[in-house]
Amino acid sequence: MTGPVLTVQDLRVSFATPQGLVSAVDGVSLSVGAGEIVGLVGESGCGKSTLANALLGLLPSGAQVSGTALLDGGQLLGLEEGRLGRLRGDRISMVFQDPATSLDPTFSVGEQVAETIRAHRRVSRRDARAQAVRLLSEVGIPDAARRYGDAPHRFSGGMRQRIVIAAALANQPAVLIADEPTTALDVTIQAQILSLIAGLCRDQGTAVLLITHDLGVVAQICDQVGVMYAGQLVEEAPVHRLFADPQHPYTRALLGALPTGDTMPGGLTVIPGQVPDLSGPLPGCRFLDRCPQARDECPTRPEPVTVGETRVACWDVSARLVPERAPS
Amino acid sequence: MTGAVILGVLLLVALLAPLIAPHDPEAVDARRILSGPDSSHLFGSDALGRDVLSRVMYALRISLLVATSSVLLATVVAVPLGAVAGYVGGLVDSLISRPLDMLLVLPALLLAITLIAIVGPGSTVAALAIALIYLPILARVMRGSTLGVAHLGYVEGAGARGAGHLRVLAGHVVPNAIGPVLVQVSILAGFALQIEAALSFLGLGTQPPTPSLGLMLSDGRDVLVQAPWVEVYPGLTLALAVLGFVLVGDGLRARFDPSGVLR
Amino acid sequence: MSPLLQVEGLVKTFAVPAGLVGRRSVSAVAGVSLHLERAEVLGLVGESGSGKTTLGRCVLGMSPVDEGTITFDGTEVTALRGRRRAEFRRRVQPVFQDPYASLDPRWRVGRSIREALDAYRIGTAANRNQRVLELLDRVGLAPSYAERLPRQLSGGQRQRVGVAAALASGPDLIVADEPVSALDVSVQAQVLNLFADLQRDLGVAVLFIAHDLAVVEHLSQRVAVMYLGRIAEVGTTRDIFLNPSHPYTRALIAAIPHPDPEHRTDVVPLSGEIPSPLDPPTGCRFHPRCPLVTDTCHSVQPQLEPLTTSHRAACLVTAPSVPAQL
Repeated sequence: MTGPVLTVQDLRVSFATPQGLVSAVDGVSLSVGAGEIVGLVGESGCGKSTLANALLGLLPSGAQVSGTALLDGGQLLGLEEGRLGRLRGDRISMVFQDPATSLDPTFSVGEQVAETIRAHRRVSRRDARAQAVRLLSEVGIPDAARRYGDAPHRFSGGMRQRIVIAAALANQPAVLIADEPTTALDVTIQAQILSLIAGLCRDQGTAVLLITHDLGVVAQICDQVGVMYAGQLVEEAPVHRLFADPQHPYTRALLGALPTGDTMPGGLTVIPGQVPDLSGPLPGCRFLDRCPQARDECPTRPEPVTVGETRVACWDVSARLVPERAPS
Repeated sequence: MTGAVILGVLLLVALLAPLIAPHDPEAVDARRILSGPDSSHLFGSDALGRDVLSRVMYALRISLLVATSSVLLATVVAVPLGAVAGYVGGLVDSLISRPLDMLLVLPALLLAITLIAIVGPGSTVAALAIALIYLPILARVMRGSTLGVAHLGYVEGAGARGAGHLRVLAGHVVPNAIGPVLVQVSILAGFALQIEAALSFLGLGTQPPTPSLGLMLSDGRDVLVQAPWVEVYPGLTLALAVLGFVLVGDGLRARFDPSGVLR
Repeated sequence: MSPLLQVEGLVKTFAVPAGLVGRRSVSAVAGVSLHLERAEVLGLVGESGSGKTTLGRCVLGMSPVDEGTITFDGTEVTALRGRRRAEFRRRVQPVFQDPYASLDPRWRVGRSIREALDAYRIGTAANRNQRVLELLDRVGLAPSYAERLPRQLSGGQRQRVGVAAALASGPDLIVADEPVSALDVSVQAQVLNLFADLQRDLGVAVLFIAHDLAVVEHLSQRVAVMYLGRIAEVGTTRDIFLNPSHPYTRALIAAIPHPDPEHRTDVVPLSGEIPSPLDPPTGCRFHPRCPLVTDTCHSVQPQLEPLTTSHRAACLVTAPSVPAQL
């Protein structure tokens, strides 16, 4: 196997606000290989969407970004808009939550897919149209040739998301970043769209970074998962390990908060307190105030340690590892 | 902020005109016919030798009074009408909105002139005419913003919490829906000054010898070349007052920005 | 004893514009019957367009019904007026989805909770303030929250204030429409625990409307599944989740993304999308998407047929009516 297609190292994003400098993403590292689906999961405000927008160069101009993000070995961060524009939609594509705003209401859906192709490839109008029709039918638009000229509002939310996916995958990108792609959809439609994304990306060898708040979605289609809390990546593991043996106290609390038929009503895990104000000085572990396992070391930042295939940044986990590493 | 300062100063000048005006605004002085600005007559004198500065001060009284009373009258009538139309909907909405829409399609100035033709000219009639022009505009704005809040949880829930329709309207709907109306009111008050001036200019508003900005503009037009001060100072004052209202409207708009209210 | 709430043959239609001047009617709820016992949580699930929200609004008395009856605690309530209607509305309270829209942004929290106490004249003016503090405590908020404005609260705190406001009038039934779908998982857990406490400690019944089946399975004793304005299946939570009968219920359950990578659903459980209620399919409304469809399904509308004493489904194939059709 070749190395990862997308490698992110120590990514930091902060915004200047009237309340001070808000550190929205704080030293996140991850990588995605070809044909692999990596989930990035966390609650609102944890920085997962900011991270995605940083990779795509879609942050507002006041954002301060540092770190590296390599796409096929080339640096993405700090790339000038013109070169980034040539990459976006070609080598790196995105699918967002709301399919209604991802499509231009004044152009037909077919033209929008064909336009994506023609923006990056020297193809005739006719060929682009033929390719767009083929893509639309691949993503499951019935009677694609006839519906090529229909405006977006003539399609349901699920169908619109299929069209967005067709446009995103039109140029066979190396990386697809999907930010809550099924959150606005009904559960049976969600199942269809997830299966579509997973199927197409595995076939084309596209590396997928899937951003979601839904641990169920992660469990269903991801290979590898990163858990974010308040801008930091607290745990990263193969999906089976994360659900079977979560290490970080936050991951465990999050899994315990999920309602199931087996938990008694009233018995869901509640995380006390609130997410910290990200404009304050936060030198240590950001989960500290809410953590049942908090220790004396926690006000300084924990270095990630490896437990089996899991990487976790937690002083409590590190402390339990020490006896195994006998002093030499 | 700037708008509020401009309006505050103009209002103060208008209110204190009898105390601070250097001359009697209606006093004719044959020796000073069309004489230019000097130390005793800062804005010069007009064709009858009257002091332009004093006349501007008194004219501001009438103009601001007509402008504010007209928008106030329109608001007082429009807010309940628009709120009820938007909140109740259905037939009640049609009964309120259709007649107002008909009022809206008539050309504004024609409407005012027709009313004056029936009742006769004067500042009170001018104020009524302006209120009539503004009523459908403000009622529509109120109806629209009421529709925006009527389906929200705290309005729908209030019914289940036992609040009667009047209580819901007064307690939840009007306070939360009136923001856009206030923005509109402020901007329309600025234009009311202009309409009042236009009506007076045409001889349909304030009647001479009472000074009014419109009348002064009308007088000044005849002597524009030999004595521009007769035209320019009332014109500048009018522009400044309109600017003040529009700036205040912009400030209110920023404050009542829907996203700003919610977060 | 009669059930707390009994809905029979409920129909609610809306007029929608069609073409340039025309209007046509759409049945959002097309003949629904269900009941709810005292102190019971009934989960009402279905996808958008299933009519579950409209059904909830009819039960709350917020939308007039076109056909059918709603009996609350032995009294038919759709035709009530005046005082008796006010008394019915006092006993059935809403909790809404959007915690940002459910509280008046200009009212302090205490005033929002007091609103029902004042309007229904519950207690004296002095002990109403005391009651507000008790209600805040009930939903796990400190007394100081009474003085706060909604914008100073997080989404989860707002939703808890919404529950306190609903509890103020001492209701027997709370109709909660997607009360946790706008909340993060950890905050959602707090609000779900709160609903469980209300049922256990106060004996309040809850009509819990949600699209998230995991949430409904966790909280409800019984579950009703709606599809395109009709009830497809109703039963105890065990009936529905362990032994689903209707093909739609089965698909819905199969589509839940289980937070368990060892149980992946590799087949897409249901193709196609919910049809427009403007033009509902003939016969069984689910037949165009149904994997078990037969010829009869195109023309015959299935009724809810009992499978066990607690479990009923409306499917010609999996729940045929007892007297043979032939």
